[in-house]
Amino acid sequence: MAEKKDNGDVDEKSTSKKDKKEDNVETQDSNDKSTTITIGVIIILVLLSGYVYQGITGNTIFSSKTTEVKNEKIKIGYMGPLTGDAASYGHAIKRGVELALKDSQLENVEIIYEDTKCDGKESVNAVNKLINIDGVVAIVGEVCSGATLAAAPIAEENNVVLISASSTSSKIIDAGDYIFRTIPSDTNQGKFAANLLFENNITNLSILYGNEEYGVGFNDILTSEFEDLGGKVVASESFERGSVDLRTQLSKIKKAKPQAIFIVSNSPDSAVAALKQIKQLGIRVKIYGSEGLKGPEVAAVKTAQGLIVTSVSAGTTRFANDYMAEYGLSPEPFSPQGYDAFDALAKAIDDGAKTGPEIKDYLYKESFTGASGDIEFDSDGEVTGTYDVYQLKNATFVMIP
Amino acid sequence: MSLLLQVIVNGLIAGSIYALVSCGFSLIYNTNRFMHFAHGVSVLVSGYILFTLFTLLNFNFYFALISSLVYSSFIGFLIFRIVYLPLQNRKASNVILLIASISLLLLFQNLLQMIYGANVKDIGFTDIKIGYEIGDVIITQNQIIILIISIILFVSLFLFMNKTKLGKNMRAVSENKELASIVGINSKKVSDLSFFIGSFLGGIAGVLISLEQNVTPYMGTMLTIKGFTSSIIGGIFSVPGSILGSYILGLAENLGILYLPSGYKDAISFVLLFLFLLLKPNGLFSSKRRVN
Repeated sequence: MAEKKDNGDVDEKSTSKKDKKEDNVETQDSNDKSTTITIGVIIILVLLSGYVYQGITGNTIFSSKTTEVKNEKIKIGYMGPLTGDAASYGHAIKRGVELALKDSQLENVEIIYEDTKCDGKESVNAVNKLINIDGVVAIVGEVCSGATLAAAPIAEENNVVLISASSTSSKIIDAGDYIFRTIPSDTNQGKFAANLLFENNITNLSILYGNEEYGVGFNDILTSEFEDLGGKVVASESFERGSVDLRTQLSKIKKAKPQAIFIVSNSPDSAVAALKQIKQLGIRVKIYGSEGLKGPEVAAVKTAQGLIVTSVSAGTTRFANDYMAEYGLSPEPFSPQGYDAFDALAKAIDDGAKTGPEIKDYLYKESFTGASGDIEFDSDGEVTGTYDVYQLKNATFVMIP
Repeated sequence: MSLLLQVIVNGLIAGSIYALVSCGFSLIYNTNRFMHFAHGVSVLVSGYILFTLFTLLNFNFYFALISSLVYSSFIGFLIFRIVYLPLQNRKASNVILLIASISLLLLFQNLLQMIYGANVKDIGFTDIKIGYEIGDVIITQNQIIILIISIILFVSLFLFMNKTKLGKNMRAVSENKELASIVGINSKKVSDLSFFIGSFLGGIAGVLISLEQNVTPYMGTMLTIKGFTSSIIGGIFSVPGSILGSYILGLAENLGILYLPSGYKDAISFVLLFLFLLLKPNGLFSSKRRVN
């Protein structure tokens, strides 16, 4: 980069010498242009590296082993997408966390929020900042599986509890002792979805999935479970997170003549585009989706009505009432899991746990009925949840018994 | 066979969308010789103005459409006058202008997100329905409009750059600014106009893309990257070339994933970008004398 810049400077100096011959000037002018283009390409690459390296684990440079508790207040971090295309999930979980903080009546707890845009790089920055600068003892987050997996080794290394309310990738099971979640793994949802499809007499399935931890993992599990049942996956096509042109993937799916399409996406932008383009391309099959589709943006798509999604618990009636009273909203996707994630930490702190290791030990012993159901962590920090089936009718998701 | 035809049409639609962005981008580059990455701002602003006036405030669609185009043209022009021109007057290098343009794109992206939120916005002008079936190929009305407009742009920009006085002036300034001023061309005025027209084209792109793909604060960045890639392929020194480059990119991406796994879609476009930079840095349609 520095070398290129030098070149540019030299060019400018020499072009300013006006006594040069014309063709000579043109050569340097052209060099200047190609320098600009090269720098343009470098910048594009830097911008792009975010997409390419999303989800790759980064190691911390500033790892400090000790987490001192200097202040009287115990600091808890929150990290998730508060901006970006997954922001609606991040805000839903944040609202769950805030409600849990209010209900816990803990006065010695402070929450520090970090926005990560569901991006692996950003989540590494956020977890480093929360641990090394703010000195948190536990973190609620990340939201997307790729980002959770990127942050997990850093939390583990620093003995800080990381508890996710929405990351469902099966890889998180092995992420470490300090890594918990209040949402069951996709291993369970994939199995549940495969059974649901098979019960609905679907034997030829196609899968459209996001090309990242969540989508890839879900696709693998759903494919193997569905084929174990005797079904056949006739097409499985992927797309980049946030991509809005899925016509060719869908054309390939159409050609394979499936009985149903199962969409796995945690990007509302892409899910909305897929549902629109399925209609535009005249693909008339049943459409199913993972819980990532159960959000307000998808519900608003007029032609998506009839869509069936599998989803983790939408929360107890009591939670729904409390949520309505607090925010004037019905519980959003993952907000009960967010409530439970903070509640699990709050119960540990209430019991006297002050440091990461103390909270971790308490969590493994803990068992309570939370907003999303029974919470009891197994030796991998996992919960066993149940799933429900919802259908989109008149722009709302209605539970099918 | 029917799949192949459908994928070619998909490629042409994608190419038209890229062309809408790249022609304005390349027009501005042609006259001013720096990468105006903030071209995405015109696209964004036009999409959000359309959303605000038509969807939120229920104004007449055509009023909203014309306002979007006016706003996006002026925003491009003002960016030139308020940001680039003072920098140029201070003898800032093109690299500095490039960095300024990227920060402008990020600034507007985040401003719009602050105002409107990160959610996908649907303009809701046309109902989502199955497209026309022509043989085995399906295409919607909006996509036909996008295709036609980008072809019209291709022809009219070709004529504009080669036949009109203003177009010739732009080419003169782009080739040699000093020589152009000697023969009496006001290069500042030409720059003004290039930003105005380029951003107007960006506005057209914003409207059509919003109708086709909905509005999000992030669409500007991805479209600018694709528009830039198209310009490199087609030849950044040629406006009609960059439109053809867009079609090549759209077709390559879509035909590529017909045979490769779909996850390679973006990879294909960047492999193409590198191949062109290595083997044909001036693109397919730039005249040879610039190669030196």
